[in-house]
Amino acid sequence: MKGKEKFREMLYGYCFTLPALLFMIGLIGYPIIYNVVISFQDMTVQSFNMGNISFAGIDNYKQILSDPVFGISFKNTVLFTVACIVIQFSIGFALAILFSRDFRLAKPLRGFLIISWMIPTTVTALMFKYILSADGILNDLLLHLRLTRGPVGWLISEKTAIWGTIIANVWVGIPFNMLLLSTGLCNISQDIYESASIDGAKAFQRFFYITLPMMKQSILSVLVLGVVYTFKVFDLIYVMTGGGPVNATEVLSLYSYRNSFKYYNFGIGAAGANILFVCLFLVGLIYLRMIGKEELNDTDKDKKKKF
Amino acid sequence: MKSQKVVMLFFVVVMVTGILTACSGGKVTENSQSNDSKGETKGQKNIVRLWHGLTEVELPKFEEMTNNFNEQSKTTEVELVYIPREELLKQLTIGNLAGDMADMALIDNPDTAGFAASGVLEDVTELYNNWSENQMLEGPINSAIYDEKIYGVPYAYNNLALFYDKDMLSEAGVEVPTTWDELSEAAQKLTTKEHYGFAFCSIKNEEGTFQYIPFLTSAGGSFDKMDSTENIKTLTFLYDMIAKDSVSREVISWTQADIEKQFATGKTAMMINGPWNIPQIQADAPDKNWGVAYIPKDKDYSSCLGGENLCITKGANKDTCWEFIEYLCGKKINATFCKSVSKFSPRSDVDNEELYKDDEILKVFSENMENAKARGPHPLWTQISTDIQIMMQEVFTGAKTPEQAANDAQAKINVKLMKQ
Repeated sequence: MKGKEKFREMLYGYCFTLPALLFMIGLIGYPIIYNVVISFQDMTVQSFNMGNISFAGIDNYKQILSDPVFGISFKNTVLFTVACIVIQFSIGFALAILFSRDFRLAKPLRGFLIISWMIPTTVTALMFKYILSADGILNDLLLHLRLTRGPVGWLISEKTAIWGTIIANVWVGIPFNMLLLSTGLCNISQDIYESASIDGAKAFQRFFYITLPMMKQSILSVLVLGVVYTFKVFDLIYVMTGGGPVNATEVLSLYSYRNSFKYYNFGIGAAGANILFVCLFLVGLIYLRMIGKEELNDTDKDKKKKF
Repeated sequence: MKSQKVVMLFFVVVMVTGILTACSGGKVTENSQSNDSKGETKGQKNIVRLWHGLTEVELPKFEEMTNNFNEQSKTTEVELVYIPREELLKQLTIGNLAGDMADMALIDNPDTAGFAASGVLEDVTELYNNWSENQMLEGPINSAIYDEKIYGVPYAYNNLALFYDKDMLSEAGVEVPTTWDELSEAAQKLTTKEHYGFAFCSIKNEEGTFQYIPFLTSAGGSFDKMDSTENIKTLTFLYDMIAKDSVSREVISWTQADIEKQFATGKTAMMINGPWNIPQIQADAPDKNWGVAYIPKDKDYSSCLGGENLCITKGANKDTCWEFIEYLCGKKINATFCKSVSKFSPRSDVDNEELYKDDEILKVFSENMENAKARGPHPLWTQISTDIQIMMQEVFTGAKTPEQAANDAQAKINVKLMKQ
């Protein structure tokens, strides 16, 4: 009798999740699987229309890995992601701590900072394109302060272009990091700080021994979301530089897009997108590992408490 | 428990990664809703859906012409569907994959061969040969030929020329340049604190290639021989002007529209551009005193052919569509239509020079038609064109020497030439 009831309960549960499951399979699972299938086929617009799509095995992946542009775009993507995350996380964290202090302008200022996160990416991209152009406002400022001798071509020089896009992305990323970290900060009880102060803990000790460990969960999720979001950057770079000059700002998503929708070589494009996907999946796995350990530890403690 | 989480994570990452994979999949499903466009009828008439990327200047005239056609035709009704120029090729491909295809499309001339090779266009050779008014100029009609078959008909063409600011030239005491040496000298003299001497577009898209071809062909070079001395000479010549600061280093990120703005606001004394900018310059700077001339030459005067071909897409009713092609490209309408949009008729029996004899600016462009070279034609033109753009950018940013960049480009292009 009891077993039967349990089974019914389970059945209800699965029925409720069914619509979501169907939705995910149809709209998310299917394209992903189709994409994987395409990446093993010699699928171009020619072969599709002529109806002679042949199985290509790992040829697409081989071709991609031997393409120097892919190497460059992979390197650029990693550089872009690491630089963006490091900068936006540190500044975002600092701001979160600043605004967790109770001073008069804290709330309105925090509100203003979020504006940059709400602006559509294409608008941000165009804005930074103008700011960083040779006769843009940044060069004007530097020239007037006599910090540079002539205008610097931020986005048109191979060396600086990627940093131009990083600055634009960081500008969007800072409020995002700040916001999520602020909520994490709010959850730490002030009592802990108070008692630590009484025990004689200095500011840096309070930060490293209380704030950081207590915020591990939010820090991890901010970092993972940040990495996923930054790694697949597309619109910002597409509008700002289109991957140029030469291939200085070419990233994986642009590489994949170019092959799929400019050269109509869907097989290669799909293979590129899959490599991007696998990279992000690995990041996710690492995150899960870390979170998992944490939760295990917590449950262990709970068990001990009970006994 | 753990495996469940992995599955969950899989879906989360999938959702967030979405852009590429889900995008291609999503569009297909989206489009398939409005399937079965073919063979639609409205009352007694067959509906022909024409995909185009026309904007402000040309669109009203094109609509007017289409309306005139619809009024006089008893059997066919043409509907215009706007697809942004950059998207046009993509949508044609996606549309083809999803089965939601236009009946006709305006396809940029260098892309026509590639689309013909992709099998998205109908072969119109027979219809064209049986047409009594098939007198077309060789350059334009060649751009629609792939594998000895005709896949489209040119309807209006243009080309590139040199725009110059008359006041700035007379102020600096410079004559309108006609050769490369004169151009380089003039550009240097015309460069002041306020403005550059000269501007051309070498952005990393088709516009960059479009503006490079006149210089390359003037030196006697061609797209399939990038490692030739002619090409290296062209790269060196253009880079020298950038290195001397007579041309802004930003040209590698400027579109042709950006260059028009530079010229209209007096930030450059000369530029390379096409006739579609004329109304824009007049709107941006009505008092500006400017003129146009042939692009200065090395060996011969040269320019690049711009313009679209009117193509019938796979599976459409060829005879119905052909009626519209005959109307727009035929003797009766073509010349007046082209004039109304500041373009030039591809018909060999239209005297463009006579047609534009009263217009000082358009006269130059119309005479320049005979200098205009087509890009390609090659089915892999988009990829070859990208190699050319990369080569230009490598040289103009100083990343590689002209010789190095030219040899590297040739190596890449060779692979594509061998494929066909």
